[in-house]
Amino acid sequence: MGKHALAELVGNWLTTRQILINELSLTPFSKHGCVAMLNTVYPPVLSTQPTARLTPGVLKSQRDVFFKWIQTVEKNGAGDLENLITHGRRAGDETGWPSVRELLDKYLDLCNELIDECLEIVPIRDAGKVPAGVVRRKADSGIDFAGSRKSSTSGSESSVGSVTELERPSSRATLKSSTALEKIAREFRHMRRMKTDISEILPPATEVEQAQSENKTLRKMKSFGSLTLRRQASRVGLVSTPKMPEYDLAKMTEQRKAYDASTTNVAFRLRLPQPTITNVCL
Amino acid sequence: MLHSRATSHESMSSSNSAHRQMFESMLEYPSTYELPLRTMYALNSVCHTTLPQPGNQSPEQLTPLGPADAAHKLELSIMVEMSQMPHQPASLPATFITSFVRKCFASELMLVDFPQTLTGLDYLKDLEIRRTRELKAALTRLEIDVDNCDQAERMLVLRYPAAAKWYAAVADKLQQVEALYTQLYIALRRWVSMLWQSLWAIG
Repeated sequence: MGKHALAELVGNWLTTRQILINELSLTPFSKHGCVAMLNTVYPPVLSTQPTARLTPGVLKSQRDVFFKWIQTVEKNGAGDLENLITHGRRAGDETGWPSVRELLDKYLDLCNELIDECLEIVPIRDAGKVPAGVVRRKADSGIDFAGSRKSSTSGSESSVGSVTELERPSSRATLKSSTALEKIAREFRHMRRMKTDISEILPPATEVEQAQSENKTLRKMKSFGSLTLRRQASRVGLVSTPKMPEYDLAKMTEQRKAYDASTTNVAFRLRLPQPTITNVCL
Repeated sequence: MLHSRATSHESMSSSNSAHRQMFESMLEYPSTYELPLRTMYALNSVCHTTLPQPGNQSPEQLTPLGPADAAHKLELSIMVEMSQMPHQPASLPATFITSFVRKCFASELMLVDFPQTLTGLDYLKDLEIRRTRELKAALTRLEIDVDNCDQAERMLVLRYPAAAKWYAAVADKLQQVEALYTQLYIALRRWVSMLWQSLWAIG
């Protein structure tokens, strides 16, 4: 981008589109990085088809489109940015992004609705106890191993029994019985592991403790190389120290109470005995 | 229990019923461990050889990375170590995933959290798998399978009316949610891969 154009941009009120095009134009094109990204989001070989409609043919064509774009940019520079950014744009929007975000919202709403509805379904042999037409809204409770000590909120629920006390999906991790102390220790470990991810949904007071583990001001636009290493280390945490850390029971109980009070989502206290790798944060 | 076979008339006309399609479209969960996308990206980034690319006749020799190389390699070894740790196929809570993803893929484009977008994609996949799992579990609890799915509604009306209503609507909802996820899969990947580059200019 020429100096004149750049000065003009800086001098004017920059729209999102302009900022983005500017930044992308200034970015030295790295074919290596682009190909790495291509192979990441559209791997040459995918073990499982994501949905019925995302057939290997569809995925391959997306991959091809992306690769052609890489080749075009390599040859001609990133001239087509304007189109990329405005692709799919609705009237009144600056970029195509708001419509994607709306898609995301619709998906999340419907998906959560489906999950909640499924959780309400009791085994049919127990169906006789469910009053016709009753809709019991349950928070997504995952596996609630301590379910017995949490009383149901409504009378009808306690007579039927909540889903968590009846059959649960057998694929869930099962937890060996343990003392209250071990349970708290496990939750604490889990919270510590998770806290750099959930820092946004905890109240600000707890975020102060976590400030050292994550520099939020740098979060917006950060180079991949410098940022990820720090974030990896803070999140991985226990990789090199697999044994249980020292804990102060009183402090932990207090922290747990504060945490409980700060979130209505009982599900968050998912009793995972070990860190999950597959889809947990990196 | 009630596996009464429908009359031939019913079963023939409903061979492509919405409920039957529902069963057929519910894919299996990944049976093998799948690396998080960020791990894959790190692996892909440090790799110095090219894979055969579509349209690329001769493999090119990519220039090795500079000072970032060491960081990548260290990151890689951490990732490999992590991937070798025992893990269990449990899902994160749906509400956590939902709030994480909404924050990561912010409404305001300039506030999108680029370093976390690959994780966001993984979380969405996790949510989708969770949804499928819960649906299968619910159908199993109702003792509905692909064979009796077309008669199931009648059976539910008698034995479990609240579920009958749910069941009547579920096939359509499932189609909708799958369509949404499909569109989202492609759209997000386009934006993530397009915008990822913008990180490199800022040190």
